[in-house]
Amino acid sequence: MPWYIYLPIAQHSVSLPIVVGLGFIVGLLSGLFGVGGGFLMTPLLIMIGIPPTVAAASDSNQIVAASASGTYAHYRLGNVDFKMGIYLLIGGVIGGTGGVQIIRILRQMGNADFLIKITYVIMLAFVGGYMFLESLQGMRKATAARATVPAKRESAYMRIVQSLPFQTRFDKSGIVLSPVVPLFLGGLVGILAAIMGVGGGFIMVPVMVYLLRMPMHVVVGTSLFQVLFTCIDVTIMQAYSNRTVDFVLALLLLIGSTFGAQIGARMSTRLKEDQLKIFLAILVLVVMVKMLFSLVFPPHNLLSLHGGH
Amino acid sequence: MRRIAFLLLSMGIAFVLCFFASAVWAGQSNELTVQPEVLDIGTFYSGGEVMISGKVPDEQDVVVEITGPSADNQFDIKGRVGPFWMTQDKAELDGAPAMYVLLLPNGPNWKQKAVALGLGLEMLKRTITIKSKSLSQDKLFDMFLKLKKDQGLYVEKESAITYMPDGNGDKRFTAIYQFPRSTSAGAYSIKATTVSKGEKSMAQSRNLTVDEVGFTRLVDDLATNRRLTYGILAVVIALFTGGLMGILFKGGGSH
Repeated sequence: MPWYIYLPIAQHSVSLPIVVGLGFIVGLLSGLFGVGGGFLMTPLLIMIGIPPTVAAASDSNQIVAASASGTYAHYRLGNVDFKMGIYLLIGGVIGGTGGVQIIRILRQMGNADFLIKITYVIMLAFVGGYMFLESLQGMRKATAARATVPAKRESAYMRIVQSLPFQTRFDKSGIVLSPVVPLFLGGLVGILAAIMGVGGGFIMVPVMVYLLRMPMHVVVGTSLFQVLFTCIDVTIMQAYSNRTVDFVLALLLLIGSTFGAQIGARMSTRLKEDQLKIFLAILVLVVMVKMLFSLVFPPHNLLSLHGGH
Repeated sequence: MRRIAFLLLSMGIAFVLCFFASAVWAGQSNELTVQPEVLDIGTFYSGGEVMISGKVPDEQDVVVEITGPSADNQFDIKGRVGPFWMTQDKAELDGAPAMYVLLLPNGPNWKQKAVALGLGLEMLKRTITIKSKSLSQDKLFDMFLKLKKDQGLYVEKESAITYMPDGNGDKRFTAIYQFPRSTSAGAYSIKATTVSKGEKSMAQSRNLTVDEVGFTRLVDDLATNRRLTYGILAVVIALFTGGLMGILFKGGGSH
């Protein structure tokens, strides 16, 4: 296919249909399964030859656009807990800024790519494994067995959370909690977002449901609100500190992913949920195994250009 | 009157002689031609074709070298740490060009002949300074060559030069080379060396400029020289595009 476009920051000419198609496929999965595509997008970009640091930073830029439209839609439905979102955001900005500095130092040391890849392997293994087991259990209709396990953990966890100072009421979510918890969790997600180039939605949603105990209808809107601002911060910091944001790449991905997400959302109503989930889990695990292989098996060449380029 | 006429005649002869002399000099200097002289990396750059041509005597051959500007010289060397392969050491290579291409004529053993002439990838070792604590210079150079060959930036190509008879005991040579998608901007040197009886006989050089143009240059300049502005602009464009898509699709996007 002769349609190529030159990415000025990646300094790499890529096939236009492949990049837009990649955005479309990840957007399609995003729309189908209701999860963010960032955790899949960066590894796929690395696979087509985009330097990992550019792939991660440009993906953050792309997520700014995707989460902006999502937050607006949820705001209109009244599904955003701004108070909780702001605490998560403060933590996210601090964590994101710290994460960018970690990447900068590791790039100088030459291990930025290793950190990105190993973080991905761990997160993809966790998310993929969890989804696989959950959907398998769903298919076997063994829901009763699952319900007893988190109850024990929650009670121990809640004792610690309730002992924290500055207990505050979050009206929209209907919970009472110390702001230390969302600040800390937001910080952790921010660090991961900067390292992995993801908005952190796929980590933030389970954190809100299981650790902050927020109602599901408020979780998605608030997560998008937090992700939006975290990714704005990460994009600006990556552009300023590391010069790794390729907004031409981000724009191409966005065009594909927006269309893909719309089609995926329409398709999802016609397909069986558990079968789709297991398919996504397998896909996530395949990406994880591919990245793990690149870390465990000897590389094709022991020499590489400094800093992951 | 006769003296004026003699002076005018002398000036006329001198002018004619100068004209012919300059024409002959110009003809010699233009024997090696490179087309185009400037290769632009624009938004839709996907590699570019460059044609190198000139004249050589019938009994001689020609080899063409394309040498790029100095490349990034810092490299990471991976090693095993526990179960993982990660960066363990750094290496510096000074004097290595970003691109090196050797175009050889048709015929047997031209790669070995090139080595005997002091040309080719193996000969680059003489011009490159290698600094590394953990690996020997030879091993590191081999790894560097492998890296560059994989990127399509270091190439030795046989049967890459074609000849056509040009009369008067001369032949015209032509070499067409496709610059790769990962070509970097800078000044490239193109050198044609004539080979007679296994010896170098004459060399001519021309320059080729590879330049980022238009939107590509604008984005690169902005991202390099006005980093904060670029970061803010990237966010504003993403917000605008996301908002526009949201309106178009009535609130899409998920994460």
